[in-house]
Amino acid sequence: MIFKIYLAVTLYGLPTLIFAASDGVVGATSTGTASVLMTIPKMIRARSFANFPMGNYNGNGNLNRNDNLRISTNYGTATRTYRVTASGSGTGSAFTITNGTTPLAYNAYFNDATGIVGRIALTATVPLTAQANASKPLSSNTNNANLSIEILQADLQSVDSGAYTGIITLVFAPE
Amino acid sequence: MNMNRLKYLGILVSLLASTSSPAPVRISNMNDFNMPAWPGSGNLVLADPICIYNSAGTAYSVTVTGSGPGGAFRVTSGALFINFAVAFAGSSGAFANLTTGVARARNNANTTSTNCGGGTNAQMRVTFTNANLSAAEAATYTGLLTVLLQP
Repeated sequence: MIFKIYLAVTLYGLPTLIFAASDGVVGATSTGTASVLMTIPKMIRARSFANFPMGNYNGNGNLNRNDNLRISTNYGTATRTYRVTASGSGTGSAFTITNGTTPLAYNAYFNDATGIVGRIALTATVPLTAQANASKPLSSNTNNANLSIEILQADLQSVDSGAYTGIITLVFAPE
Repeated sequence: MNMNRLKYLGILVSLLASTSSPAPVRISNMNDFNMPAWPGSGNLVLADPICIYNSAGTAYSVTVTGSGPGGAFRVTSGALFINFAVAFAGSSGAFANLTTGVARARNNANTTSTNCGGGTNAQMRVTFTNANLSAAEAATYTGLLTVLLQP
């Protein structure tokens, strides 16, 4: 004999079937049931990060480097919007690198496409919202965004010689 | 053949039929598989201990079917779906993957208590692979497993 209990409930306006497990009864055969419930929340994945070795400064011009990223989600149809928040390793999360004593400021940019055309300057700890070029599903390997770093000539010429390092951290979140 | 012989033959057939009917069995301690939150990588695995009772002996078979097309082991959310694997283990704890609708024989039924005395002697296990989860869309998915126990 088969016992199945189906309860129709409405959660946030969406009808959902909830099943309940049931034991079998004693008989020539016996049948039990169990529901399987799986909830996958909105998720986002950012990959293809690389370091930014800016190289040796020759004394003239700005230093630039950029890295294409793979941002993938498990939600959305035509657009899969997300936000990105960057923070540097300087004081107050500032975008600076340091030789141990002296900070050297840099600019960070995010682009909702590969390459740097159309990139937007990031402000440390301030979310850049409504980025919409992510791919789906999470396992997608499509390059679709770009992070770029720029160190201005004026700043480069104002610091002592030395090796400067720092870390930029980006947090991606679904919208 | 006279009428008396026919009557005796009928009684004999009736007795044979009643003595060859299967002994009672029961599956119990069934629980739902409420899968834990997927952290974004790795397989999701959940096992449920159950009780298998067979009054006539320790041998039995289980046949599990899912609620997907053709009995597939699948959870759905509208048109979205995720396939999963089902495995069964007897008292040894060694899981064997099941094919939907195909009986799997085991030999460790409890022969004295229809609810194993409140304990368990077998397990069902559900596994969602990282590959299937990575390819799935955000949603709430549900499905149903039906387990047929036979002596």
